[in-house]
Amino acid sequence: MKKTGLFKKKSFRYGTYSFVITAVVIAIIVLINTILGLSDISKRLRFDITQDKMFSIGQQSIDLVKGLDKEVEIYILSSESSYSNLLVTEVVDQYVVHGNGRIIGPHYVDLDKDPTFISKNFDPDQVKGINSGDIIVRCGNNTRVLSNQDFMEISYDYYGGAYVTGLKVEQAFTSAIKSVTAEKINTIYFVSGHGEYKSDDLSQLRSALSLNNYALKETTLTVPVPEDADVLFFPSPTSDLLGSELENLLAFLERGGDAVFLFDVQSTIQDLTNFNEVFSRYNLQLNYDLVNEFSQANYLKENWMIRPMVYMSDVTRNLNPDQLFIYLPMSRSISVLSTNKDNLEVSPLFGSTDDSTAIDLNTGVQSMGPFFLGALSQMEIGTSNHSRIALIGNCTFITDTYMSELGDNGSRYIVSTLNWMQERADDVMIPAKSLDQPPLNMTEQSRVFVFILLIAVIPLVIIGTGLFVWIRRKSL
Amino acid sequence: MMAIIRRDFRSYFSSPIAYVLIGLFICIMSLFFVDSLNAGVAYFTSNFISSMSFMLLFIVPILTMRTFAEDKKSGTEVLLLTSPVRLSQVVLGKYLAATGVFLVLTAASLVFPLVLLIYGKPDGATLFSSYLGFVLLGMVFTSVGIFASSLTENQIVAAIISFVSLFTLTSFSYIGSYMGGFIGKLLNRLSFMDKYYEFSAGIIDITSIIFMLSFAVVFVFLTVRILERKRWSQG
Amino acid sequence: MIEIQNLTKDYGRIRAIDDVSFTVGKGEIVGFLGPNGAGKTTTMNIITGFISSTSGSVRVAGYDILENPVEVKRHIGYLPEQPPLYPDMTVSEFLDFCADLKKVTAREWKNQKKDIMELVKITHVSHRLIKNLSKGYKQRVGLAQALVGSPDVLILDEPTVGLDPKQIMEIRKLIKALGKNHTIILSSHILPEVSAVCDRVIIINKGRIAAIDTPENLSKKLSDFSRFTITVAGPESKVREILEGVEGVKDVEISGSPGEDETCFIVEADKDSDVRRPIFNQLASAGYPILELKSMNLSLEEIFLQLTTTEVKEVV
Repeated sequence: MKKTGLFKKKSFRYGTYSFVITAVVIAIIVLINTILGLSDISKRLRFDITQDKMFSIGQQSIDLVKGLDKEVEIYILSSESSYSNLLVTEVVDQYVVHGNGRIIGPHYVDLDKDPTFISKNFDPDQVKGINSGDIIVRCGNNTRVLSNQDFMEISYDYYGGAYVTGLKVEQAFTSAIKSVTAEKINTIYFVSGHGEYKSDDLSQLRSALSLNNYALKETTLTVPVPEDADVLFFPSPTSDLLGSELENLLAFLERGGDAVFLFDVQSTIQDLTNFNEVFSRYNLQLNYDLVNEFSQANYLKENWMIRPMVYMSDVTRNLNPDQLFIYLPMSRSISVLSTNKDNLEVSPLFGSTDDSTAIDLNTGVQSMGPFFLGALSQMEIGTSNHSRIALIGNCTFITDTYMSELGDNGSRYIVSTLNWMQERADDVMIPAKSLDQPPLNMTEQSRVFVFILLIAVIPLVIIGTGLFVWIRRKSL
Repeated sequence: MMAIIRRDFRSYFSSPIAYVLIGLFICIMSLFFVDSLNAGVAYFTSNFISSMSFMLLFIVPILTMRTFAEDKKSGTEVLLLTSPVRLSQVVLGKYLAATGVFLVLTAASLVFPLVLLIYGKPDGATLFSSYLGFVLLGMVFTSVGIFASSLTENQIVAAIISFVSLFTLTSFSYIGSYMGGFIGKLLNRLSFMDKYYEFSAGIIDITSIIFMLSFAVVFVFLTVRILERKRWSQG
Repeated sequence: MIEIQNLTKDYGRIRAIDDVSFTVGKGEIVGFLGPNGAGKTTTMNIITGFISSTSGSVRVAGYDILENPVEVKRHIGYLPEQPPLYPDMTVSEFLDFCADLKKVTAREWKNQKKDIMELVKITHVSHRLIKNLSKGYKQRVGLAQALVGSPDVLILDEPTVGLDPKQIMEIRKLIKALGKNHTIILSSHILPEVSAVCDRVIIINKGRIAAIDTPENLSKKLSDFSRFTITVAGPESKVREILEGVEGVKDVEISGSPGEDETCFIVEADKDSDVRRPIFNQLASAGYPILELKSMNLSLEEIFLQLTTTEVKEVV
């Protein structure tokens, strides 16, 4: 009986043996996968093999995150399981991989489950209008919000039709990271008090400015311009400055401040003497008129809907005017004064063709083009300082109403102008990734042919072969 | 083991079943491929990509349902298990034979990228990784199908079990996004469909490859274990 | 060649075989005899490694089935009761597969295939689908399958079941021929088949070995009526007197009284004399009918009774 017991044990041992092996193998496999899944190695083991490197980031971005000395956190306002924007998650992973541990995230926050997350952790001013699905990039107290619109490059065709032509996920993240980690943020003061566009009318422009690392504030000129102001922004004042306001403005400009002036065509006669007093110091003059364009290629439907010529300058060098269509609806002309001043450098920005006219709204006198519709001027102050202004005879093209119909290319010009003023060489210039898909060049005929081949001929041949083989074997 | 692979593979092709499955697959996928043709674009639409995987839900259970049931019925189970071959080799051989049929199906479906190549300049790398994802998905599905067929001697029951399991597996990411929390996260990580879509988008993730292959290995292993247990307890 | 020790197999609470031990020498043909459900198939399945035993050991050609199953299986060709055939293959394809499975080299197989097919007489059906063959041919293909790779040991489970008498004769002849080169265990529930073919017979009943011996000795044992019980209707003392008076009877004991006026005796007689006829004659002339006459070696007789009756049923 002792022997039987022993053998019983033996057979039992073989059963247990195979069970243990199975358990061990499965445990090892689970372990390997858990380790791989949880560690950051997995992010390095992903390879973007697409032709356009859709999911990769460029050297410029890699250099930026490699050189970071502060931690940047990325929050995605969605539950991880329901966030399906592969493009965003892949690109964020790339930043994390190259960020030497400085880029942290992405943290997924489901606002439905944690509704107080935003109010508890962020300055409400910095995350105004935030939505589920948006992304927050934060470094210290600096915060930037990215939404899906920021990831799409939208182009407008000749007739104003909008379509997505590219993806600028990398661009959005790189500039956001740059912005939140920047030591100093340039501050733009939007000036009000003279019938300017309200910030609600300019929200798209404002978000473009924020995206490019500008802090936006409001002021009036009744008080001296604040110390932290770098640029004053005048979105089409409709009445002239008071004497004291002029003084405040001049004081700001004389200490090296910069300013952007945009003026729409006025319906009522307004004498902007004090403004022109400022402009004349920069050898510029704003005219009270309306420019009409007659050169076929340079207007859209109406003669006053001008597609301006874009002059090459420091501002436009990095832009591609052929791609960045803008239209200036109802513009006034800018004159360049010939007064000789050594410390001044004037360069045109926009212009009309020879085939254009300007009607003086005061006198009704019509004069022939070409005209300048926008110009830049730089005044040297001493040897090391300067003041730069931009004067454009149109403001409509940066309003939300215009942009929602004809595109936001205008803000590209404004941002570029501001960057020139603030001497920002470190502009984020990452080309958007094209969404163009390779075309299939087929005639209607070959399309039908291929379709019939695929849906009927090939399947029938395969099934026929099967039946043939089967029937032949059946009778063996 | 090669003997079993060869026999099972040939057996699939000496009956009409494999031919009919492949023919229907091409026929139905053509309906989705029309999107690409009509739009005149040289890439697979997302509809096409998801339908490819959806079709596998039906094809794999039919392909694998008779794997063990047939041997049980014809008594050849005895032959296999009393030959100088390990049980694990028998199971692996049958798994690889079914995978082989699946690969033939995949190869037949290469007519679609071929059309894109003839009439346009598609992104070859992305097409390649879509197919890599498809093959991995098929290998995972086949392992589940084989496992299901080891559970029961009834072919229909085996097919239903594998269809239901595969359906559950593929809905992990949906279930995960409903559940949320840790389990949701876990299900999301386990979602083969998400991994498959990543491959289709042109991302090759080594960890996904390892994960999917090891999933298949685990299920083949479990199949061996199930059959072994049957022998041990019932004979 | 084959050593079986203390083999036991439980299916749940049912003990299919119980402490079975025997050995089979090289070149022997051993018959495994027993009624249906006696444990023949279970034992064979364990020897071939198809199922595992609950306890006990099996060694074939020196290898233990648990420790070295692949080696053991390499030495065995097995024909189960239902021949293991793929119906959708041709005979030739199927045998090629078996050779492949048993790792017979291509060169060896080339000659062997022809021999095997000629031996079992299936050459002329080699290109037909197995499912289109008659039962007899299927059985032959099954046998051919067991022969692939010329294993040392052949295990044949009911090789003649379901065949017509002509086919049975052929298969028996074939097995006898194979016995020259192989060690064979064959199971049957038909006594004459086993006696015709086997060197030794193992009788198994209800999972236990009832007897192991040569066919000749077994038939002798069967006709051994040196000890038997007899139940007679008649007065106890009278009957006892008659019984003791029969020549060759050494001892008579009363073992019980199953009914009114019925008595059961245990009779012991000389080994060489059959006392049944004189007892019958004398009791009959005295007017005491014999109600029952049973050999004391009960189990063996019972088995044989079953075996012979089934043989009759099936052959007729």
